[in-house]
Amino acid sequence: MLEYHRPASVEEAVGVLAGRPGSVVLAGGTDLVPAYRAGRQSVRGYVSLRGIPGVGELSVGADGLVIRPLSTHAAVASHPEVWARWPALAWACQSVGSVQVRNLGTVVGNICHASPAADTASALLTLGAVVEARSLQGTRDIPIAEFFLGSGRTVLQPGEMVSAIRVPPPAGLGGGAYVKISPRRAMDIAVVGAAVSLWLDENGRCLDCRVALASVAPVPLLTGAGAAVVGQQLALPHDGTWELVSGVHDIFAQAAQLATEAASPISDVRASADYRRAMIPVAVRRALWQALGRATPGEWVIREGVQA
Amino acid sequence: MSIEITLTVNRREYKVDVEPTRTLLQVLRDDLALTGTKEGCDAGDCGACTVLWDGRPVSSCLVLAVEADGGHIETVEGLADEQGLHVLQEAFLEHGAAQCGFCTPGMLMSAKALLDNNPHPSEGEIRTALAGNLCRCTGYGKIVAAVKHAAEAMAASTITALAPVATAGDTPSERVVVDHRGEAPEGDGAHG
Repeated sequence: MLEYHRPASVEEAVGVLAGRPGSVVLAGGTDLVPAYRAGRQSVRGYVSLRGIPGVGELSVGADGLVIRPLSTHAAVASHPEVWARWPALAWACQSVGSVQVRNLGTVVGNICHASPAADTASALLTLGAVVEARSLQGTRDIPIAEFFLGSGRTVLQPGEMVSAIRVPPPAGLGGGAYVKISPRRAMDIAVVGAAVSLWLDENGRCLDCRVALASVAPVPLLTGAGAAVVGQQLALPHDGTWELVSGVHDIFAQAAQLATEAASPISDVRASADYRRAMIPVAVRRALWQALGRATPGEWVIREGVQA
Repeated sequence: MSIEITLTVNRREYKVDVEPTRTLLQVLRDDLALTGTKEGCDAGDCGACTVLWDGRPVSSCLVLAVEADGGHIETVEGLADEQGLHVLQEAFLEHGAAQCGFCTPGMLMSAKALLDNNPHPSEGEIRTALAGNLCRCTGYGKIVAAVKHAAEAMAASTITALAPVATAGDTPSERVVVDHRGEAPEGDGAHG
């Protein structure tokens, strides 16, 4: 007989998880409910989050962004501060499923489901997010780059649940993007996804750049491709707008090449490994250009001979 | 393990005993006999089962009924009232925006949620709002046209209601919300 628990606090929820092994946290339900009903997932009992006050709120402040266990993709993607400060995450949330799915599905659920194709996971990887895991034993912080073990597997232990995802504040003039390559624009899973976050100093030099990929490895993959961009001059301040400097095209091409080398795509029902490998540099270059555009708002000044 | 929940569906309150395995879609159709909401894929992919939960469109096949306890649900049965069809329903009829009709209730509910929040959507916004509703017959063009038409009809009736200060409400955030159905063309009931 399937159990249904509706705890009134996270403490109570982890108590149920510890005391009733086989219970699972039910957040948006968009993965779990159909998986259970199709017999793909065994569940002793659901631990609902809907009785916990504030469990769907987002906090935005000087310390960064805090995503809570029932914060939906729609809530993140409709928050103007998230678009302004963590654009890779906003674009990733906006690319999930459809309106109906984004209104239910949660960012925490997306990472706990641990699909290699998870749209928000790669964005969070570029943002250096920290996953806060709670159990009866206490709370521990897990850097998101250490959270995923394999397809559907995370470092969460039995009795643990994610109580928050913390995203640090931007480290400069920030830009970000998530580019998803899939046959349909909505209701589809990434054949290749590329997330980029980059930060510039006020002179247009890149302070930091991170590139992460979806659907090209057993886990959402943080690549070292940003190293090709960090320290490089990407733009110059020019009368209140920005002038594009020569060489950016080559820098981005090099980063795309590094990202492709980091990936280990497989062939499956959605695409062949070869197609994925061919699309990774395309997605990464597009994401880098979009991210640069968002970090340097306004019309670019492009001198003759500079390739954009 | 049966749990008693309270659902307000189309402004009417129901108390239902449900097993935690059952979806909102199953309870609406099988317990409340509100079969206007359709079961298509039953896996959250097609949007035929779209209902509004506290004003937001969701796939009711993905929601366990127990999760919606205390919630307000709107289904396609709640669109028409004693004064006639909803403007969206009239527009769908006028534009021939249904062929087999199976996706239509979900389309209408997604469109209603859009227009409730954004009275002047662009074509792109309409298509994004309906992207989770699959139609295998129409090719979507007439559906998009119907939603656009409904938005215009609702805007026209709102401006009438606000006259002579209608210009003050030109941006959606400032718009005074009125019951557009009072101003809409009367339904003749033949389609109800």
